[in-house]
Amino acid sequence: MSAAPQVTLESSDGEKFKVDKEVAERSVLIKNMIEDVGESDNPIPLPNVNASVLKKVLEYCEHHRGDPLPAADADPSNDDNRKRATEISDWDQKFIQVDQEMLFEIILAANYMDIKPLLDVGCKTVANMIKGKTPEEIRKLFNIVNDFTPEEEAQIKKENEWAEDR
Amino acid sequence: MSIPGDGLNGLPSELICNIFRLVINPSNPRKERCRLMLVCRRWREYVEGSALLWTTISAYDGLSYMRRALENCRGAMIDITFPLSRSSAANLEALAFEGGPHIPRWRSLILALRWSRSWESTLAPLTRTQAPNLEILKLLVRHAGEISANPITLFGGAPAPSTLKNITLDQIPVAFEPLGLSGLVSLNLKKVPTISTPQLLEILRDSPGLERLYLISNPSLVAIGSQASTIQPIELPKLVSLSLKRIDNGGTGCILSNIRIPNRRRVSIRANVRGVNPRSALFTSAITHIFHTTIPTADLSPSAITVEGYDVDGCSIKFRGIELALVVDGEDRVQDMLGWLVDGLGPEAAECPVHLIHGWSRWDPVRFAAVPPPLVIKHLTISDSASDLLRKALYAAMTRAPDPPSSDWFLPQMESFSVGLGTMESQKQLISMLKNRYEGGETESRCPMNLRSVKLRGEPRTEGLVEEIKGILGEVHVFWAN
Repeated sequence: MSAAPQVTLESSDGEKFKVDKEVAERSVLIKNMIEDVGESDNPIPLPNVNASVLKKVLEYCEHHRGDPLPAADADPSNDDNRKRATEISDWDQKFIQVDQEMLFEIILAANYMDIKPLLDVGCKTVANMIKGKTPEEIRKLFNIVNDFTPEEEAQIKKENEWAEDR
Repeated sequence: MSIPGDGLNGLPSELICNIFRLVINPSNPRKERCRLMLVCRRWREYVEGSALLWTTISAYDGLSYMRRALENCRGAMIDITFPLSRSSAANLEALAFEGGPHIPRWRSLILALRWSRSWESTLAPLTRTQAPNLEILKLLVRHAGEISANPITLFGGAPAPSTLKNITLDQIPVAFEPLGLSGLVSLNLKKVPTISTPQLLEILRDSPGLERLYLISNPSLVAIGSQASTIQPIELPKLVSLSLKRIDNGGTGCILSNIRIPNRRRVSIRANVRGVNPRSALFTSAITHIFHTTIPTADLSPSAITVEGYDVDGCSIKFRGIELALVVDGEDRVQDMLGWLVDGLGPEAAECPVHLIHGWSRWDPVRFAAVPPPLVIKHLTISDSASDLLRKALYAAMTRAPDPPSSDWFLPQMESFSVGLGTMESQKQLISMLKNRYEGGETESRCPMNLRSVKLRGEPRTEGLVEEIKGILGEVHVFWAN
């Protein structure tokens, strides 16, 4: 039996990762690059992803290597799954239990490498962190400065008839 | 690409808006939008500037906010909702007035209405105008009293848009003929007097991608006589969930005998078979195809057949994702139903152990347990609702030595037994039954030991009871339920 074809990916900090082509092609970016360039021994450069993040992304791709790929023409504005939008599988939940810096790096990498399921997991995780929290709790969680004046804050509440108990 | 250290606000705006969409609850978007806008200026700009965060137009929000949402969502498709909690004619008319001109952008319309008189006129945009992009239509009336007999014509009498995939109608008498429904993914009709069996079958034939079909109390779904024999079976390979409740037996039989659902996961049928032979009225050989599914049985719980008698005349039979909730008038009806299962399953029936859950107090527990061969009862549960009288009758049957001795004990192959013990007296009764049945008691004869487990339920948990039972039964697993 012949070995599965492999490709080499190179992170922004120069580290090389040899992985099965099937795993790498979970990324639409890489899949398109391979199709465009053809089979090559040259490493595929990923200048926007450092080694620690790429390692994590490849762990995800390896685990989901056999999963069906999402439809390319899925309409983002017509999301029937909104009701269960924030459900995340057990494995994915454990996978994404990382510090905030890594979480956002994974989201950016998934966006850049065009790995929609991973991007969804990242966005859902952040959404779940926001849900049910007050503006102050959200600011504290994500280290965001409140740059509203009290008057502006009152105005927003008035425009939106804000009331905590609604 | 990234701005190190910027955290969440270092993500591109389209990703932040995507996250916000996941945060916003479609049933009450206003509250979450406001929370997000109050975090910081940037988030406020994102919320105000992202059309997709304003696409849910809810009567819950009041007129001025509805206007604002319609303005902010710009040209995006919109979802109109009218929750029951804000069910007043004024709110609905405001919603119809504000949302009506935008009907070409309606993606979904979900209205829950409380009254029965004025809603026909307030549905005006929908009855008079086409909604060319509508995908979801849910119209529900609560507490309507008598349902209007006058059919309501939708879309100005034009066919339904081809985009319409998901329909729920509850007590709304829609005229189906002009709609020419096809390509549906979900159809849910409750107390809709205007849907007939031929119309339904035509919709099903034109909807091979249908995934969910729920039909409840629709009075015009009745048998169609000789027409039925000329209908070609309708293949519904994507149908996973089917529910037929309180439909005329003839209508239910006609629907089930004309569809094929090889990949179904759930089938739920609620029928009244009082005073009729269920095998001629509904449960004929023409519908035994529903037993079979490509879904692995392990996924649906094993092939055990669970038969439960409850209340005065309720009987539930569960098997491989099928749930039959029947109103019956005697033990014989249950045996008829199990006979139907046996015939439909063929030799496979011998592999399906029966779990009997006994809660009937009025009927003969022994006759209820007389399942047709090759079915065998291997599990018995006396339900918490069972009367003391029923438990005594069952214990009497379980301890009665066979007469003549060559015949079998009652439930000889019983492997598990579950019983509720609420009093000291019931504990004594159990001990006495087990001794007489498995130790021989006052007679020389005793039942062969096939029992593997005894589950005890209820309070108080008498200390030493488990050990006492183990002393009688030996290696049998005896335990209190959690």
